[in-house]
Amino acid sequence: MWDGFSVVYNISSGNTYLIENIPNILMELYFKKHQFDEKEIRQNCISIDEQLITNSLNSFVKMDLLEKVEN
Amino acid sequence: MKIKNRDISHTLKSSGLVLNIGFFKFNICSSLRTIEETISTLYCDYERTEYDNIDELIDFHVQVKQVKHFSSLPFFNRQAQFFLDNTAPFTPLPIQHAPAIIEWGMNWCISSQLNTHLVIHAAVIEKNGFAAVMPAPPGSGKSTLTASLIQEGWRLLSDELTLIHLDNHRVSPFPRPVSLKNESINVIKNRYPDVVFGPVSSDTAKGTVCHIRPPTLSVKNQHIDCPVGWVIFPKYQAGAETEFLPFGKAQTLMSIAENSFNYSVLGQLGFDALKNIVATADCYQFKYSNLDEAVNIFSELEPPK
Amino acid sequence: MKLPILCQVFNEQVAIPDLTLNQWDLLLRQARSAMLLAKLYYLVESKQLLDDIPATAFRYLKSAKIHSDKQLHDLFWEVRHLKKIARKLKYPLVLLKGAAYTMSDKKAARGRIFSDIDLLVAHENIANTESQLMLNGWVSSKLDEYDQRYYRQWMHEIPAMRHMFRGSVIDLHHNILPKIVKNCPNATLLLTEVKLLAEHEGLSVLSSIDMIIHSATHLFYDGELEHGCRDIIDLFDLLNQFVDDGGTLDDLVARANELGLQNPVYYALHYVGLILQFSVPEETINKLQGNVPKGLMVYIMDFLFMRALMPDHESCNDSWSGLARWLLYVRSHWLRMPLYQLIPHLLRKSYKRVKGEEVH
Repeated sequence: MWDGFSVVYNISSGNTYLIENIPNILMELYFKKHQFDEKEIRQNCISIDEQLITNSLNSFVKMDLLEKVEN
Repeated sequence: MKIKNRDISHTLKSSGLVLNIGFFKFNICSSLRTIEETISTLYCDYERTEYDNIDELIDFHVQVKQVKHFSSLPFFNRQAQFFLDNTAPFTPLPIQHAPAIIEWGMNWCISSQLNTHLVIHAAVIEKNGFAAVMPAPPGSGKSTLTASLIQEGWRLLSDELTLIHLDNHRVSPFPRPVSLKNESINVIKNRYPDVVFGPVSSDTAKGTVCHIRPPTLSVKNQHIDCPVGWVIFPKYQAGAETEFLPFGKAQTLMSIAENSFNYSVLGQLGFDALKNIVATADCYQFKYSNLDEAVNIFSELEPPK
Repeated sequence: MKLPILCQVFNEQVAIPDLTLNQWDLLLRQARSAMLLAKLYYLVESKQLLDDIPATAFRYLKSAKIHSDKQLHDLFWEVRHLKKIARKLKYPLVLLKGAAYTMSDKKAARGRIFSDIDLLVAHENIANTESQLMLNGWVSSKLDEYDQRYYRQWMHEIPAMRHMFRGSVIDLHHNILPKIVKNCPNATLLLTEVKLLAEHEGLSVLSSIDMIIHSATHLFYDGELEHGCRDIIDLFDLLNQFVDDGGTLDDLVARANELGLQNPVYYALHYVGLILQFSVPEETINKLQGNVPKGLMVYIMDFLFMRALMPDHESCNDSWSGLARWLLYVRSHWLRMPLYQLIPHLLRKSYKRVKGEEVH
């Protein structure tokens, strides 16, 4: 990750993506662990625009970078 | 056994002439006069041996042959085709383009068969132990720039294919005659009158194409690899002011990936190699119209921190 | 007829440490034309000789292995998507060929070149499977009326389906041979013996015996022989693993009799024996009932197959090789359709090839 841009390599699909305008802290929370709780992230990132979180989650699911796990 | 110029024709027509380029060995067979000319003029500094006397394995057995194609009339349009061991990757072209055909063919062999290296469509030159990688699509003026810089103290590692070894992320040299097109042929001829030109192929798909002999020292040192110091994206634009600006590392990584032949095949190996390279190299975007200023910019490049 | 060095290495007539430079040169070139460089990598690796071979040889074996790894990776990704569909179906979705070898951990999978994914379902489930695939992004090929009829009336598969975004291709079958073929097996017999994959819920593969029979049928009946050498080595790997896992050739022969596929199994055992030195007792082969080739027929087929099953490289071809391959190509079509349909079909295919269009 450099200067507000991230490059993500998806090991499963083999695709590479250039991501812009997503804060580093969000990227780390999304991809550091195997699973994360959406509610927890929203609580911990109050300073980040809610819509940004929603949009980024939706986009990443579409790009096969994240998968929604129903409980 | 080294081959003398007068034996080249004979060797090419029999079991083949082995050319050592970088760490590759190409065994070349051809009865075409223009191929013989290319080998004599542009490859005279390279180690050349007869196939019968090799003591190491050949990488690629290639041929450039005259072919009959049902679309060509006899007596008029004689055509030539490149073969890797009797597989033809391209359709036949007019026979006078043979010198360009063999260069494109050798590039194809590397870019389609090799996965021990990341193969980037970029020129790469070296100074003071660091390589400057210049990815550029056609029309960016990369070849003219490369052809100039190698006359100004830079070592030629390659003008078309940058090879990054996946184990150590260093550039493996593969220096070959530099290809020039159309106006750049005259630009270089005027600027550097001592440069040796090979046979000219006119009316190719890319216009008029010819190649210049690489500097002797570049060939002599073709076994010396080095790390990447800079990634520079050149763009020639007539009349433009010289602009040399830092380019984002993330964007650099993506651009190189897009300009690589086998990035997607390599998967994570390719990603890791590029991640390391852009982390340590300085990355720039470069716009220019004046070759003198361009040469100066490059001469002032500092090694990365 | 002396076997090419590639075959001699795979059947161990020549040991890898004993290879001269000239032999290595031919070996690499033959392997490249037969698309067996990656398999050769795994062979060398299994003998722990990767550090002892010439650097140039290692370069291309490794490069091919990396390419094969990528294809494997893509296959896993596609299978992941297929599992989502398979879980919802009330009938087995059976993987065939390369995908099957990989997902059931067969040695034949290593170093393989994958292209399309082949699936098998019962005939009555074709329509439902096709629509499930379409719902998930696979689109049927645009074919003209003749080709659509060719597939749906005569063939054992429907036109290939390509994924809109990912570009992967699925060939959906309802049998392993076209129904018009005399010896077309009863697909139900195959489907009752399928094995569910424990680790890949919803997906199945043919039984090990049926996998061998399918591979033999594909090579000697159905397929074109462009990659004959690669396919015979696949068969060799499958047979070896089958025997190592406790299977017997008598069982294989009995199943061939049951399915009515004695002919391709005869050829499989015969040529794996001749080319790869896989030993098959005479009394086992004799248990194959029905119309297995004998006498002059064997002689003629040897003339053809011992050329067509070699790598398509100048060091392996002689002046008859081109004719042999062409005759077998015609034969594979003749086996699949009556003469009055065969000739127009072949003419049509040649015309399309010259025009550069996709052919079936």
